[in-house]
Amino acid sequence: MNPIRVVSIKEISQIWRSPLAWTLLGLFSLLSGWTFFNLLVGYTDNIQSIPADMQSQISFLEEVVLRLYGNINFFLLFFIPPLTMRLMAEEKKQGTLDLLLAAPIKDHHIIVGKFLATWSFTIVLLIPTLLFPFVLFWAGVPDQKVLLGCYLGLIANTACYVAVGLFASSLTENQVIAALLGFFFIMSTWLLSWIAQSTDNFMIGEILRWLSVTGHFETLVRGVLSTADLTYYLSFVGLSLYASVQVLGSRNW
Amino acid sequence: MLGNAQADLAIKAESLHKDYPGLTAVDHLEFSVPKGVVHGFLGPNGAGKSTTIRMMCGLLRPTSGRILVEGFDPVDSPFEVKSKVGLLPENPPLYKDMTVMEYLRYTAQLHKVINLNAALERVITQTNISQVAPRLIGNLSKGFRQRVGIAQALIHDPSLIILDEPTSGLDPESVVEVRALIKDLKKTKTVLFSSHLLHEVEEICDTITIISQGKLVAHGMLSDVRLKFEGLGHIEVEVKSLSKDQKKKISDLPYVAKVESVETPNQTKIQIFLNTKEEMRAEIVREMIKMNLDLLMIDRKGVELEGIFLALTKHKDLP
Repeated sequence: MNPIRVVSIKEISQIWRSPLAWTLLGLFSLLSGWTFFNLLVGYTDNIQSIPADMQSQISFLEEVVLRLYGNINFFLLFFIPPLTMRLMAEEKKQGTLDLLLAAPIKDHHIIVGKFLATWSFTIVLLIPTLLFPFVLFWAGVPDQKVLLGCYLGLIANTACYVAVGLFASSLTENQVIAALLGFFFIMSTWLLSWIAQSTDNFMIGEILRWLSVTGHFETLVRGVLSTADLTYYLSFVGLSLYASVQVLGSRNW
Repeated sequence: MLGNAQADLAIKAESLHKDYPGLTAVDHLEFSVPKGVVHGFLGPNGAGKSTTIRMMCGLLRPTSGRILVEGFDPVDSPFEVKSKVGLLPENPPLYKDMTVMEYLRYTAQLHKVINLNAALERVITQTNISQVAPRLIGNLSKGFRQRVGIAQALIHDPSLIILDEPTSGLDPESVVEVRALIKDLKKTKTVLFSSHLLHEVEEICDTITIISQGKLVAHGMLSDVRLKFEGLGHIEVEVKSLSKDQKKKISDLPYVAKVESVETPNQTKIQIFLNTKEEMRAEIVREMIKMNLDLLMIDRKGVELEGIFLALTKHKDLP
């Protein structure tokens, strides 16, 4: 069996037997559902409180759909670091990293295997939210392109967050520090976009916007998939995983 | 003497050196281990044993020099070395939330074992863990955890087994079983065995290497090392009583490596380990009289590995 698959299967099985994973899954579903409900209620209240001729100015897409998936993306900032914190830190702390390093497999097999396992769990985390598109279709908002873009954006973002969280975990053997570092790194990708909005320099603003995950997510949720975005996401994940492999290899220094 | 032919050697360290920032962990170490023996790897804490073992398994890169395992350099041919070596580190690398069977299956897959079920059956029988195979590792006793650790080291049927303190913290029954297992492994494999229990090394090992502060201090067949240090025994003395101050004064004598004492209601038995081959009984008697100790008996005991170890690791001016 391919070593990446061996490491991945073991990680997936370890994630699913951990109470943390089930807790996060439950909380994430609850929080997303509560947000969806509130956005729907808020939209209905707004519509009812204004004259009928002005109702068309309030966009359901902007007020409910995009805000919902923007919020879900924000929740991931808090839900992914607890998942990634143990990936390498726990192996180092418990001495089980020696088991992997003494086996005839390469460092990138370990890193990629762990990444794929955790990323697949974060995709599962999004499955309960698939209920929302069904409700939206039923409510008469069948903008399939936008909804597909939202999910594609979330899946791409989780790949970036998991990769950077894994990198944070490879830096330390303390899981709490790994979670805080992971949170900080993910937060940094958001901060870039906020700095881009506040700068007067067009060039710097554009560069920061391109470097930020948020900018690419906003393009995707509008149903636009470009090679630039695809390149960005692949580069982000690739560089983060490469950095983790380098940290793991630094044991030889 | 150890065999010289390269093909007969399981391990050969050639001027092996490892520096950490501000610390030399292994200092131009030279030793070899012939195939098919149980080799004792000894040294006090911080001597560089674990660093050497990690370099042997390809987990750490030497600063200079090299170590060949079955003729392969772990730096150039890590996969060849890893497939030939089974490692049990001092802290067994166990996942407490996995069952023994799941864990062994996982390690077998990591080592790309082809006939998985046969390998599992072999190591489970060899290490006698069939009764705990379906149980979670976290719920096992320390003895069983250690046996599971040995089982993972054997899963890919390596020709060299490296066991770092394998009997540490085990109950007497488990210690006997682990020792018997090591003796059994000797029939088909080379075993490098690191231990602090010197009587255990004497019981199990054919050849030994003693290192201190990263440097080689003794190496060869156990009987040869013993012969080399013939005369380096310890002195047993019985006195009426011994205060802490008096014990410290004896320990501070220049030819004394270590002092151990056992108190009984009527007397105290003292073991004085020497770092010299000279006859020191008369000198010790004189010192004890100076200390006003009531001497009941004095006897010279033969050379034991513990005496050699203490002398070699505390004083470097010995042959």
